[in-house]
Amino acid sequence: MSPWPAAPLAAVALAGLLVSGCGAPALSAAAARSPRSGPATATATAHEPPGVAGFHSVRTYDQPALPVRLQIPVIDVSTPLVKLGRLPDGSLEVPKDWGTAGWYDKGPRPGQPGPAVILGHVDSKTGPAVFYQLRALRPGDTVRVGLADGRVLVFRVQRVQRYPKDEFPTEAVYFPTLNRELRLITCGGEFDYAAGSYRDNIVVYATLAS
Amino acid sequence: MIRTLIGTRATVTGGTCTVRSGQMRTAAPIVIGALVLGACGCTASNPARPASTPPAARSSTADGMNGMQMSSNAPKQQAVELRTGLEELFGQDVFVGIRVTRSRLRGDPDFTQAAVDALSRNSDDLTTLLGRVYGSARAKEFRRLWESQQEGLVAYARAASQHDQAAKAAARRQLDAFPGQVAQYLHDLTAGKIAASTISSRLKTHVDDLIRFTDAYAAGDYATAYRIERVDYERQFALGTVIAAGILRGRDGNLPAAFNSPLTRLRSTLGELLGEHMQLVVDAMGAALRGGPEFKADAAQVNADTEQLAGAIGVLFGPQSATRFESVWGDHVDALVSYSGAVAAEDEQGKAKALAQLRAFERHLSAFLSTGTDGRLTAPALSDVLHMHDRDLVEQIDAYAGGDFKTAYSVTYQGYQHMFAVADTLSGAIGPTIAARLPKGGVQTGGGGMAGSR
Repeated sequence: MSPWPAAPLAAVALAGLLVSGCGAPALSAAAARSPRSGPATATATAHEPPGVAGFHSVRTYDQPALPVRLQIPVIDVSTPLVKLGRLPDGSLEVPKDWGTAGWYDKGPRPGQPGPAVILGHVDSKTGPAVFYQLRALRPGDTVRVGLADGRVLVFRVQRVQRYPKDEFPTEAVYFPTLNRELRLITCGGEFDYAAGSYRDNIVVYATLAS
Repeated sequence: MIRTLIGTRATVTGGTCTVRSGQMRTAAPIVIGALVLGACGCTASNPARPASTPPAARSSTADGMNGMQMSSNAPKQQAVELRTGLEELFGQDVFVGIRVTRSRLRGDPDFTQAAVDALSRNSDDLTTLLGRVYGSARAKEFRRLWESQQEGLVAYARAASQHDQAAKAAARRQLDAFPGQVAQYLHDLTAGKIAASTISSRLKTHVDDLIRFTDAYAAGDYATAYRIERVDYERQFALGTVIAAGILRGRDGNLPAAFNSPLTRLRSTLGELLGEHMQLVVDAMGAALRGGPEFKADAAQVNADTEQLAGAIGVLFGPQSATRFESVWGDHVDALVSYSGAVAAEDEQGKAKALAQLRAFERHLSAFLSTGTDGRLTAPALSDVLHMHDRDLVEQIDAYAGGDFKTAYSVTYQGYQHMFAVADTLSGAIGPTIAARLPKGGVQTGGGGMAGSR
């Protein structure tokens, strides 16, 4: 038995509305056998229709240029971007220079679909570092990423989150999305002097505005 | 977490269906009872393909293909199925509705019962899905309101085809009343969890899109018309997300975690793009068959969808994979258009060549995805799934060319549903593959020099 109910009365009524009001005669069985007998197909011939022979599906996939600079005007950040990889334990490599941010180059590039990740230190062993004020960002703030081809991408901050490092939400931060997004990450919270590191991470979520 | 989520789906192996359900603890008990335990839509002849069953009532995944284990967390799965089901159906409504409108404007023979049946079937499915949550009696009111939109659009298209400005204005007035009525209905249905203003605003935009589509198409501005169609599909797909969220939101305002998990979003997005691919290619093949002037505009939107799919592959597997995918996928689209051209030209040799190209595509893409998912998808099984998709597209155009519009529309309808099953399968394999490759844990980005002053 078909899982589908018979066409309801409303559908029949809709069909009647279509047919009765169209100004064209009801279709004959012969006309219905060939769509090429309709008025819009008068130009169809026994040859291939125009446009079909010349059609080729798109094959132009390309990436945005490499990101080379980060600017966050509201917290006076302007830094070149270095490439970052992963450490043997699977965590992200961090910039060697306290004053320079870095981009995780195994993930999406800024402007590409997905969460592009940029890291920076909150402080050095002696003073503030490049992302010292990152936690002060608020929704709507502007983040600019300069590309190697001269383009500048503008992102808008959506939210700022703080996570304990031992409960870091890997999927929420890194899992692919098809939206063009940016993650800015640094340290926050209390400093664990025994471990020599902060207990938390600050993550800024931003999306491409233009 | 991802593995657990995947494990909630039904197993479809060799034509048998197995569904395991867990404890039911949602506030929408009918959903739990009916959606999971309802008909499993597989058939013996089509093991990985759902039969004609409303989206959230069927189990769409060929778990046997990727070997994932099952677990019992039906409520979480219900949230995902309701979301993807409403997304699928509201998106589909755009294409089937526009086909009725377009057929009316063109005066094609296919504007008869077949096009209307597809639209009606979509309304049936939407009503059924809502009925499983709130009961059939309350859902029937949705159908009545939803059909007022369809009647208004048909009336508008008729007026446009006859250049009857007064009739257009009357139809527009009918359409203008629809968003507020549906919005209020959904607000009441969900006890206020869905804001009427949100739905009303979205549906007004939808109506505007459809009016602009009709006017552009009637004026022969196909490029504009098809751009509008695609944008409207995206919007209505998102409407499904919004309504599902309203239905599922708890008294505390929270949604089930699975509703918006990374894996659910991946599945949703792949379904959106693959479903769109199916609909756009059907229209492009039809235009190619007819030698219709809209072919170029329609093909441009097929390309736009392909670019987005390649972008998805790029973010999942990297740029080299995206380039490879786009090439293989392009072979698929080219072969389908060629097939339509060969049908139009009554060129049997051309048809055979195109079919051979489709078989090659199926082999190439299945091997590509099997490798990309570290073997979670097996190439032969995936090739069968892709073959079903190609078969749908070939069957619908053969039926269309033969004047069997009922079959053409029916195959298209199920072919669209099939793409969501494919998305489910792909996301179920890609998700854990990607999760295994993600960076681990937090980052060590501080020296501690300012610790005392923060």
